[in-house]
Amino acid sequence: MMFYIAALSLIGIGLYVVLTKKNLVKVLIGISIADSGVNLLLISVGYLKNGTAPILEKGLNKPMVDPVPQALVLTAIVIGVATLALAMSVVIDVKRHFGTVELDKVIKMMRGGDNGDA
Amino acid sequence: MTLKFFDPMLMIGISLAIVFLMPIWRALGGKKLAWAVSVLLYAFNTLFMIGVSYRATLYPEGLIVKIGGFNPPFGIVLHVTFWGAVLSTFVWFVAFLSIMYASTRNDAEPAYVYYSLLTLIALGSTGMFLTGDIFNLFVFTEITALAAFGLSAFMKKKETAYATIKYIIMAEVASAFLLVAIALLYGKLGTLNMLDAHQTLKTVGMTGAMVLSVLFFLIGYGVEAEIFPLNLWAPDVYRYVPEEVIALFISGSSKAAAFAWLRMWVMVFGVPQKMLQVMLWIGIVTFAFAEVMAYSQKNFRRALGYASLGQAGLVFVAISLGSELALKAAFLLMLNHILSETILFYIAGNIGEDGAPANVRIPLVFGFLGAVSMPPFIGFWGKIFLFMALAKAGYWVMFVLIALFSIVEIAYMYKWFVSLYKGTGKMELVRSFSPIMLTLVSFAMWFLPLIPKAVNLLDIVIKPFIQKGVM
Repeated sequence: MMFYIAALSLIGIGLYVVLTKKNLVKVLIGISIADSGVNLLLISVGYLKNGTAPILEKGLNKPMVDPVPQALVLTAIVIGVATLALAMSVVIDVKRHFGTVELDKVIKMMRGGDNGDA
Repeated sequence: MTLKFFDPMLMIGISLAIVFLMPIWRALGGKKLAWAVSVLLYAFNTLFMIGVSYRATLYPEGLIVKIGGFNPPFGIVLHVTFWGAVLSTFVWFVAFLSIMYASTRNDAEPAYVYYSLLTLIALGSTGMFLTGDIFNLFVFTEITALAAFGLSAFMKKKETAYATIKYIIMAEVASAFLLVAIALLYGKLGTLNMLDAHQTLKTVGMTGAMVLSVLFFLIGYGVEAEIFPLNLWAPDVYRYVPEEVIALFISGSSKAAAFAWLRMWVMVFGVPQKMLQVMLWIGIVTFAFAEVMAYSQKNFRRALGYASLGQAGLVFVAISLGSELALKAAFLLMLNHILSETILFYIAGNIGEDGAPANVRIPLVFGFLGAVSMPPFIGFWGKIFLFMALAKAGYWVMFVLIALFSIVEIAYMYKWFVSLYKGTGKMELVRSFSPIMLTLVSFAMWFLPLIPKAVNLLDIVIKPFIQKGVM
């Protein structure tokens, strides 16, 4: 239960940051916090109290934790890192073109810009 | 060579290997070789997927391909349905056209990375169409999304950076929701195999956690499948990103997300009647919003982008309705949308201020007729089927709304058509993309209307989804 509460609050904090902050770097940090929460949630789905590592060996009499969520989380972490890196590079691109990473200023510049079709 | 040769895993493996070796192709023969290898790969994959599609017709409930020798539900499986195989074929076909188109471009540098990303987005979408495992679906979704981000930001222009960052933020939040949905599903059902999950769900029933899971899947795929209000990233991306990439977004990532939604909603959750109304209204609002916005656009690319969102809304309605007729409609609408919008976006990339060049006159007519779902094209039957399905289920309000906004669609498409057609002949092609290619696609559309007559084929399309306990 503890884990679920922790996971859900992490996701909540992450989403709050994404929704309220204007700074793109902060938004990405928010996404990354939410991701950690999701990963914790996935892990806790397969968690057993007093469970042991899911490796078959002789004389094993304890219950094992579910290995599937662990495999999933591993994949999810790698994917998360890759996307975060890519997103960061796009933020650098934004900074290069607009001179700022504040989303509202960027939007204002795009609207004000002379592209005539917005 | 037997039919067993057409194992989709072979295609996925070859494509991945070729992408990973991309730096070597480049070192050996530069940009030209990287391009040639990609072209060969796409042509091979297109033909290969035609073979897989044919093979899939022999398995009415879908062909199960085990990966790594583990038996389902423990091992990952591919569940190849005819529908998914046909869409994959079209993805590779469009990728083939796109890379032909990309060869006329010299501002996409480094080119070999560009070609790799084109391969990856097509490959990821193919995986999403074919996989039968929920987590595998997530992985392919992320491959597709990463390639899509990369392609979207590739030009490193002011506008693409702005459009892409919005896209990334929305898609990343969505992917977090997707993982939560998977966690909920796995926690309740203890399996990730789609068919197995459906069987287990029958005994568990639609509990609160499952309803939540459906909603999170909706959010997770809604961004890529362009469902209102999660589609707000799309107009900017469709406006500024190169046409060949947009063609792959339309045929690949967005269709794959819609198909993933079909899998989850129809195949795993079995169309929960309690939530049906909500989904239908979401689809209708998507359609209405997109058509109204498209009507007021001054830029052709932007109008096309909104029109494309509208089509996504229609497909979403059809899938969510989930009846036999509606699924047939969804299949036809998807194919129609891929072909007509691809043509129109290629043309949009070719026109300057004055209108369309003379040698794209035929594709222009065909593209527009297809885009507004007019006979004799395949989309016409799709729309008719959708109307019939709505009438059969008794949703008359939605019937009228869709009809109404379809008229709006025809109105602005006609406006654009006239203005483009009048400018015909005034100028040369901006890019030297072969109009022959466009005409060819158009003729492909011309022959597709024959499909609805082959009712048997359409039955094969929907059978894997209907048999799993829908309705």
